[in-house]
Amino acid sequence: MSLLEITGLDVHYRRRAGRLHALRGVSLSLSPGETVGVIGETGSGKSTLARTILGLVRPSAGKIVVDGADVAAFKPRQWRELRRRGLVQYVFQDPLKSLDPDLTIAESLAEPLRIQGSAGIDDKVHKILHRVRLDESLLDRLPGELSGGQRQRVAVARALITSPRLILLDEPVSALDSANRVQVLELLKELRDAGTALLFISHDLGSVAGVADRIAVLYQGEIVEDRPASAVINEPAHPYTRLLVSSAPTLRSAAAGRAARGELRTLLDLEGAPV
Amino acid sequence: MSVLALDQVRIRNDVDGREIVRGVSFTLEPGGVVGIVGESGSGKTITCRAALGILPEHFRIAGGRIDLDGHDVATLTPKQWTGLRGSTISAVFQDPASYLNPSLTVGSQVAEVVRVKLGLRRRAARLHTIELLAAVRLGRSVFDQFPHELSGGMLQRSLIAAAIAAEPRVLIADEATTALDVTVQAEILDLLADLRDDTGLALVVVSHDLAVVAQFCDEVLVMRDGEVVEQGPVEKILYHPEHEYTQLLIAEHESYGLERYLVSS
Amino acid sequence: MIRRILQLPSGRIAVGILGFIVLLAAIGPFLAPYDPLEGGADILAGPSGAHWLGTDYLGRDVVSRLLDGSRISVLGSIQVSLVALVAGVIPGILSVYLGAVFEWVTLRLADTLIALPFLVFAVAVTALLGNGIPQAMFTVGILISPLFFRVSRAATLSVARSPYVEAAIIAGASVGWVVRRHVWVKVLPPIAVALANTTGIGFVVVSSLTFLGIGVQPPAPTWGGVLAADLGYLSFRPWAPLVPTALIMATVWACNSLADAIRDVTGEAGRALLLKRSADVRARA
Repeated sequence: MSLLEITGLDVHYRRRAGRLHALRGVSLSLSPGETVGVIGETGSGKSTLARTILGLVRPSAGKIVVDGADVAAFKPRQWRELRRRGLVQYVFQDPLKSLDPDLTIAESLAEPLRIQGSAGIDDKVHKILHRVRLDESLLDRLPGELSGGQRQRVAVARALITSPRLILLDEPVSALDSANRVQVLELLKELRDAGTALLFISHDLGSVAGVADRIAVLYQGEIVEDRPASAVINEPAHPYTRLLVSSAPTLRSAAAGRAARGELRTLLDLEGAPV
Repeated sequence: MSVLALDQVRIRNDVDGREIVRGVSFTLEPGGVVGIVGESGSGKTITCRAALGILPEHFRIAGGRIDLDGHDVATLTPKQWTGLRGSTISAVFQDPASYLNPSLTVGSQVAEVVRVKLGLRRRAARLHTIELLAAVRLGRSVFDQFPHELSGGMLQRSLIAAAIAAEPRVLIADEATTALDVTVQAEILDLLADLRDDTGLALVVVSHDLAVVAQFCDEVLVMRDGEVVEQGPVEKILYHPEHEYTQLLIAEHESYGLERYLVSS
Repeated sequence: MIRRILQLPSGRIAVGILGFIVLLAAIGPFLAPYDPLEGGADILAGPSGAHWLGTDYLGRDVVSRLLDGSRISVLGSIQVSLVALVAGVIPGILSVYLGAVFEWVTLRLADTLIALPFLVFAVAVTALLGNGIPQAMFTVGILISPLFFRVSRAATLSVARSPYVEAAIIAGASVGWVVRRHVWVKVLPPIAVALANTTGIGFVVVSSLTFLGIGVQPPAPTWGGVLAADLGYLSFRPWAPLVPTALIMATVWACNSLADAIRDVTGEAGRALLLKRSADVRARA
């Protein structure tokens, strides 16, 4: 059975100039141990998708079934109960902003457990720190004293501490340099192998390709392609996916795709097409 | 003759006495492209600033020599520098929005560069600016738009328009595509490649991503902690990297990037 | 935080002055050499060994009147800032969480209160409720409360939208948890700044009211009252108004520079300094 099953999800934002259609008819499913990459650029609705799954944004239509329950119509109280089970966790794009600057690392890590009211908190905090390969001396530091890579591992550790079955990650490696990026990606692979489902959201096909089993491409609020990663990358079907794949900088690709990219931009009526 | 040549350039921070850059050399021919790869703090940006004559306070060139279009920059007066910047060497940086005044239209800001650098009158400057915007594939309507009305890619293209206004011979692109979406990044890189093909503009492309630099560079410098750890033609760097740091950069792409799936052709 | 304020020279001086003034308010009336209400034969006398600052137009000792009057001035200004604190901070934080209706009502109420001139209004209220410092100060406190409302609301808003609060919500935190755990600490420093500022304002208001003779029955001494009395006999004792004026000015200055000091040590720069210090301590350990 799938852990997350989204069908026909519509999200609108109210704006001064009418309504903004952020997501249209999005359907997506995720099984335990599966990693799905959601690729979308600025304005594609990828953050809205994550926030809707987490209950921070209310959908105008559609179903979101998490572990057998349709959460789309949940009331605040039901949401709180669901969240306290720690089933679904989220890793933010900016690790510095997602940690309270006035709380020590130990306090930040323990917070989800404190909210749950669970026992043996200290023990779990030490264990999780070990799991993300951070030193115990960091526990009584403040987020501002850590490096970017350490912070992101703390943020991942906080998400892991409730033993979630599904983790949403919003650009978890975009802000990291290559050495730290490799470490965080390795960690995600371990999680996947241990049976955790991951929804990896990014604008960069390159950073998702290494860990995703399936890739869903989000373009202007719609999923235009949802197939195994190698299929999306090697035989992209939608013109936008083709542009995305040919735009991703790779070591071997040189300037060969320049003309093809120009045609695709014209086809999609994007800015940057020759005028 | 080369348009930009660095010979064993060393840059010192006079406050703590540390050498931020230790021995960078490369030669750029007209229409050539040199790439510099390195993480933040590697010294790549400070090297570019030295070539532009805009080193921050307390930083100075402590050794080596920079030749810009035949002039040894150490002998240039501030006035001569101002004359060369824009018309011989120019640059675009990360975060284009911070280089534009939010309360003026994009067109008026590009036109200002045209008026100052080319000495054109208001009307002629406007016409020339619209031509420049077309060269970076921006429509006429952009002239009267404000920065907040444009996307990051469009802002970067209008800054490129301003940078190439006085037909410089060298353009430095320092992390110019880092903050942009991938398709927009490709669009800017394609634009730079087109400009090089059409006008013989020489480029220095600086990035933390080896793949971005590898797109169209002839020569690549890999920098780390102020030193050039590896330097050579792009094919050599990509296929026969010698330094372990370069190997790490490539291994990261091979095992986590698109390369994992791409059928090698 | 208090230790770091004391490390700043301006903070040290401000705390010193305020400490001295509070001490005056606490024990001043007992130190007074004469009965502040009882006049003597010696009217409008200059400074002498018996009367350090001379006597006023009824022959009352000015030192005794200033010492005795300090209590009303200090208590009045503290009352203003405490009333404003309670009336402003609680709705300020709640306006972010209690829904759109509460938010709309409190925002309009704050706008209305801020538009009222508090000195004039305080005069009106004392006319209505009887002449007394507590009534006047309560009114002024309520009228100043929008300052606290805005400050605490702005601080709460910036925290409420931060990713770490969302992280707590995603972990199942209730509003109460979020306020206790994350919001409260961030709202305290700006409130402390506002508190120091309003105490200064309160001082000016108490002095102004008592100068006008509002809030106290005539014989009772206050700093503002002493000042008013001295101004009436400028030709006899031209230097005399300087003393109560200096007292009022020093206190208000101390309140304001304390507010600045709090801002300095709790702002972004203060936080960076704190981080550096704790790193230094660790490096030494």
